[in-house]
Amino acid sequence: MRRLLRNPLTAMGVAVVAALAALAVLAPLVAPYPEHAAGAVDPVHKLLGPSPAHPFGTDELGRDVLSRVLYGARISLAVGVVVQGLALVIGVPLGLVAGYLGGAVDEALMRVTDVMLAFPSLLLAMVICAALKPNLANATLAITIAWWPWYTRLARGQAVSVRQSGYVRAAEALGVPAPVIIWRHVLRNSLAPIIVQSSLDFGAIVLTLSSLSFLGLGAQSPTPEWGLMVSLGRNFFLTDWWVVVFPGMAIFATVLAFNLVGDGLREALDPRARRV
Amino acid sequence: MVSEPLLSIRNLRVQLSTDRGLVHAVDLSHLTVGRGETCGLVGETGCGKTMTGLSILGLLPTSAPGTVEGEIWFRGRDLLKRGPAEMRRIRGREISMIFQDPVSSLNPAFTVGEQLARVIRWHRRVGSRAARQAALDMCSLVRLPDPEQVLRRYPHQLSGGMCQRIGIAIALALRPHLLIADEPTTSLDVTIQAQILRLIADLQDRLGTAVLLISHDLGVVAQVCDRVAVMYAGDVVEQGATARVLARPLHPYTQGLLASLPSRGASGRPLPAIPGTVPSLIHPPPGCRFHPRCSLAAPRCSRERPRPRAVGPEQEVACHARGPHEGGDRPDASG
Repeated sequence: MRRLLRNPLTAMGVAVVAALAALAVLAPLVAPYPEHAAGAVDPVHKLLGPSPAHPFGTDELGRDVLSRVLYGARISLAVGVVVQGLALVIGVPLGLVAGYLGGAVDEALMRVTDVMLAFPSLLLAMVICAALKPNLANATLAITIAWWPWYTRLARGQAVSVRQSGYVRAAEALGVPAPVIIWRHVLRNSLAPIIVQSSLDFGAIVLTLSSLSFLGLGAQSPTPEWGLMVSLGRNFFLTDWWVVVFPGMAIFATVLAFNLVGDGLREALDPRARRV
Repeated sequence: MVSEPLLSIRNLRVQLSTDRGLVHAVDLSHLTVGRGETCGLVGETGCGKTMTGLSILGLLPTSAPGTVEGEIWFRGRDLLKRGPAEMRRIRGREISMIFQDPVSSLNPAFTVGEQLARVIRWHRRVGSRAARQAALDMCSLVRLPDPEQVLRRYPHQLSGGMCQRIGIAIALALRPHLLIADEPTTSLDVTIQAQILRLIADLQDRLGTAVLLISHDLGVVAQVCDRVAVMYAGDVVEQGATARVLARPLHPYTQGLLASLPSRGASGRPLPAIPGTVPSLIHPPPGCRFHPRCSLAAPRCSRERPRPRAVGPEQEVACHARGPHEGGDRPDASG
């Protein structure tokens, strides 16, 4: 952990991620106008510039942009956690089993993931969203479907290399059953790259969700989703920049922070990247 | 010695398909290990020693799919006819194996104590406290100094010799009847090597475990083995009581191997070497696999595979140049 925070860029990423998480959890307490995230409007105060009363200004329906950005953090982080969790739970075991057992099981599983990976993730997610009813839950599902094969790939690669190691051979020679070998030996020694990849991916998931919402295939109004806010505000962008810039900044900061944390983790967990 | 052997391998053929072709890794006519006996399996790198060891456990490398034929009799049953579930129960409990590189044979993510206790718990179904006590007992059995401390360490914090002691403790934790030791001392210092060999010999005396010691080092085998089997290109060419085989080798390959050992008496003279190189196991030579390098080779040797024949009470050789009842040391060039 200390090694992780020694790099100033990583420390900054960790700080931003921590702040985002805190703000997301505390949104009902910190947001000045919580009702504006829930659908209430205030047309009298529409499109006001940043001021002490509305630090991020108000949008075309008079809603406080700061409050909506804060509540947006809840959505982005929650979707990120759910997608990541599901993708790991589905993808990693399949990859470990394929890599450890090899043979026909491996072939079958990897061809399925190859087919999935043949579609660009965003495009696949868009198709799924468009086919289902576009809303936040379906967007989450769509991103998960597009995401798990990456973890299967990664976990399989790790499993294939760990399978050759002396301790796996030794465990086999002792009659340890395959599920135990996969759990105790293969998974334990494949974790580092999977952790790194999932923190790098977190930003990409947030970005994908925003992209879907921007295109109208994800969260629907009045949900305070960042991508949706950018999308709705773009008509006023030239005159009332704050409607677009603040949610945009939130997306940018989140993605950047998770990438910094991921890079830092990679350096901290990979002994080869470690400087003496 | 007269009773039924613990392990008896007959006509074992292991073939692996690789990118370069079918490798005839093992073609072994017969090999036995008696109860409580230490049998050395010697030969050059790539002659099929390790493959033989792995076939006994039914653990051929997954990277090269292959076929295994023949019979491996162990305690009254043919291991090659057992299902995977039964083989898994035999591994560890009845036959276990230790490997060449002791450090990488332990999982780097757990302390050695956890790994040792885990094996004991897994097979004996005892509680964690009992397993811990059993782990400490195993440590004193393999003479690890300061076991309390050592068990709390991770493999990379221990020396190779210590890791090998842990490896032996893990392998013997379930009191198997047979321990396959695949080059257990090759990656260790000479002094540690001697200690580990003495430990294996000593444990074998105390626990009555039979040991199949795989090594390329005749010196190692001479130190600890009751019997020795010399392997060349996938087959055992000579086997018998260690003292007898080393004092009076009959197969030209064994003779060459012994002659090429450095000895103090012969200093100053170049070491004799066996001419030629180890044959490819993709296209092994017909007949006797040693004939292209053999000084006694006769036309028959390139046509007909010699069968192992008893010569004397405790020695067996597979060579046309040796008559069935020949006990003498003189080569008979007529074949």
